[in-house]
Amino acid sequence: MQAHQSAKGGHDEFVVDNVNRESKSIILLHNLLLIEHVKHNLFNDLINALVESPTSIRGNTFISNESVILNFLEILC
Amino acid sequence: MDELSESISELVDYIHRKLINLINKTMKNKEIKYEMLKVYKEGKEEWLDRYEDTEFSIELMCINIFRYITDNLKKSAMGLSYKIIEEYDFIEILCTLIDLKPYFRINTKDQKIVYTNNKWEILPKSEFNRVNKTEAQLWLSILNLFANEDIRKN
Repeated sequence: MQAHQSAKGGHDEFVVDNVNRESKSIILLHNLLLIEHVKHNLFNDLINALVESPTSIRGNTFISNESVILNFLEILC
Repeated sequence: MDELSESISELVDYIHRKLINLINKTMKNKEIKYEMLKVYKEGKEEWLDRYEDTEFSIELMCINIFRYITDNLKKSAMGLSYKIIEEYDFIEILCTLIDLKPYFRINTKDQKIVYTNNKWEILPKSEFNRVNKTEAQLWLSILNLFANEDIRKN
């Protein structure tokens, strides 16, 4: 999330350079596909778990994680 | 992003799933008026609403990324253009999205609203005929696909 913020702000070129140099966009893509898979298969169980023990930061992270990674990829484009 | 060229096929699969989902949802919710000042209900519905809103922003982001992929189609693997055109028929998908305009909605006060910068805003009448940023990405993707030599040959 910090890497995404730094890349989005455009003030820290180190992050984008590092992602490009170390071929980390493949890892980002694999994470994206993994999160989509988890959301698709375990969505109802995870939502029920969130309703039972409402911790907003955990829930928001679960919901927004895919969006953050995709936006990071979009910035790298 | 060049190192992604090997895995770009998986990214195209992902984008295809998301755009099909966007089309289905838009057709289903065509008549529903959007509540701009949404107060999330408590419990399960709150999480489902948040999930739906996030999914929508993801689906629109996919349009931007797909435009980038079509920009660099020449550099991509040989089979990718075949997959985009023959297997998934992306031109049909893009045309459907231009027709459905999921980025425009009507709010509860019967005003036209537009999705820009990850939020819904009321569209002033002077901008009704203006091409939206997301719509421009759709048109550019179609242009890139038609302008690609490999695709024209086939």
